[in-house]
Amino acid sequence: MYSELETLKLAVVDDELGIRLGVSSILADMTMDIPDVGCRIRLQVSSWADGESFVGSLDSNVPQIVLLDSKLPGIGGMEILEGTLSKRPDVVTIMITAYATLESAVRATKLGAYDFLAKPFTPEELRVTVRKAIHHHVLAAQARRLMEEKRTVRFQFISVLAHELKSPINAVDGYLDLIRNRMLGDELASYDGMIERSSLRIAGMRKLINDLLDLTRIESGQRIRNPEPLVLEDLARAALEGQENAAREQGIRIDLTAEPGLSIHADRMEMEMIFNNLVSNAVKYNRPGGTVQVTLSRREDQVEVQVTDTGWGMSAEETARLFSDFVRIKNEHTRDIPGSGLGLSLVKKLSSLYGGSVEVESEPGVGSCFRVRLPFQLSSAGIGGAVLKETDHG
Amino acid sequence: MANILCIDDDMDVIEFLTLTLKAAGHTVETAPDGKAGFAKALTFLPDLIVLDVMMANTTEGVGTAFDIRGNEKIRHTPILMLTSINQEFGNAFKLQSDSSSLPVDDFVEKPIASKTLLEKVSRLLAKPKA
Repeated sequence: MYSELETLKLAVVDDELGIRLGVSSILADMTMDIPDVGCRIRLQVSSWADGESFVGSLDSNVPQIVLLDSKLPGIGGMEILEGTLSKRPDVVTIMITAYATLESAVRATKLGAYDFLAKPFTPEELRVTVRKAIHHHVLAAQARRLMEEKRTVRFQFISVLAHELKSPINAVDGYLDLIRNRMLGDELASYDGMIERSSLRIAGMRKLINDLLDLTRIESGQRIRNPEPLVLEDLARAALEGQENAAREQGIRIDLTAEPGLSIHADRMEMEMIFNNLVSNAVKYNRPGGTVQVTLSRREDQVEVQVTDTGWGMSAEETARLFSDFVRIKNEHTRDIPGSGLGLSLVKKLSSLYGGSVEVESEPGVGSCFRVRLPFQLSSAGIGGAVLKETDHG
Repeated sequence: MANILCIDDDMDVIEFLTLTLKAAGHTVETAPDGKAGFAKALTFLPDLIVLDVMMANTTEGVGTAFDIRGNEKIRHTPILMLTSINQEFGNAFKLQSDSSSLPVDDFVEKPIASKTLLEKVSRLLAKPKA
């Protein structure tokens, strides 16, 4: 939004020439740094002797900040505040009041003024008040922009989610249509493949809904997180056991190599999600008779969970988008594997939530290697209050 | 009967299209994404292309439709676009059924009914070539 040097427009509306000239000269050379957003502000001051000409100028030129005298010869400052400026919530108004009465200040604030200056004011009072208004304007503008971005991201997420939820329904609908119209003849067994495919798509949809609930719980910060000391090897073994049947069916061997004594202070359920997603992917996307190697080690102040498979692997282009929501690598090998496209996105979000990272190396036809690194020592305070960055999903 | 190319990244939709169109006597070739589909169109030179609008979470099919229209060899091939986009995207992406915004000849809404599909396919194949 703001480049290095941003010019904001400030209008001073006062019937006293001395005020107009004074304000213009005091603010003319003022610059202000806003470290929060990394920009420097300077002001371009315009001045108006009466309310009518100021209001008339708003059609073509809206200032970000207005210094508005409450008592003007024609239309008064309070009226302008109540009328024209009430429709422009992005304009920051500072009322100039002739008498420092509490009553007029309260009234101006009620009508939407951001601050007020009581006449007579010193150059320093003016600068302090204007600085506050600039700061307010910049932060409010940034908040509006973030809100807008959040709405856009949310809309995109919902759109893709709707598509992902409809696809399996459409597929099953299609198969039912074929069965209903006896497209392969009257022999029921001819339709076994379609029925099996329908079941798979429904299973995929169920997984999507469950993963979505996990994701929402984590991102909302609603889930109560119970960090406790966890032995990494135990977590890995539990994930391996969960995949035992699936691995046996495909003749896949799973090996675990663990550096002894590795533990982490974290929420059990979240660590289980990381391990389960990595290990189940390594089995699901492996080839029959392949192997999965799980290695737990210490890397300086982090623990590393490495899961290597001998699956079909991915291209660089595929790995680049792998950790985004709803991304599934579609090819003839992955076709019959139910997945939500949210598992690795979940792993990535959880890893960064714990101040860690996840990366992947993959070679088509050879296999993939996923590495999750998590800080070794985590204080419970650091994690207890942490919430994911809001911009991730809105 | 006709040669038909089906482009969709959902293998179940491809299976549905293949079975339905083959049952009606057509010869069917398939492609899993827009790029592969465009390449195949250039060699297969189909009489009709069935093209999904949403692939890999983007409106990739739109780009593919423009690619097809921009190539001298296949620019006149009728395109039947598959979509469930009308309900999903609301104002973000308006598809007009008269195809004024997209260079396609007709639309079929997902879930696809085999009867509707075959009707639209016959109608497009019967149309005199532009």
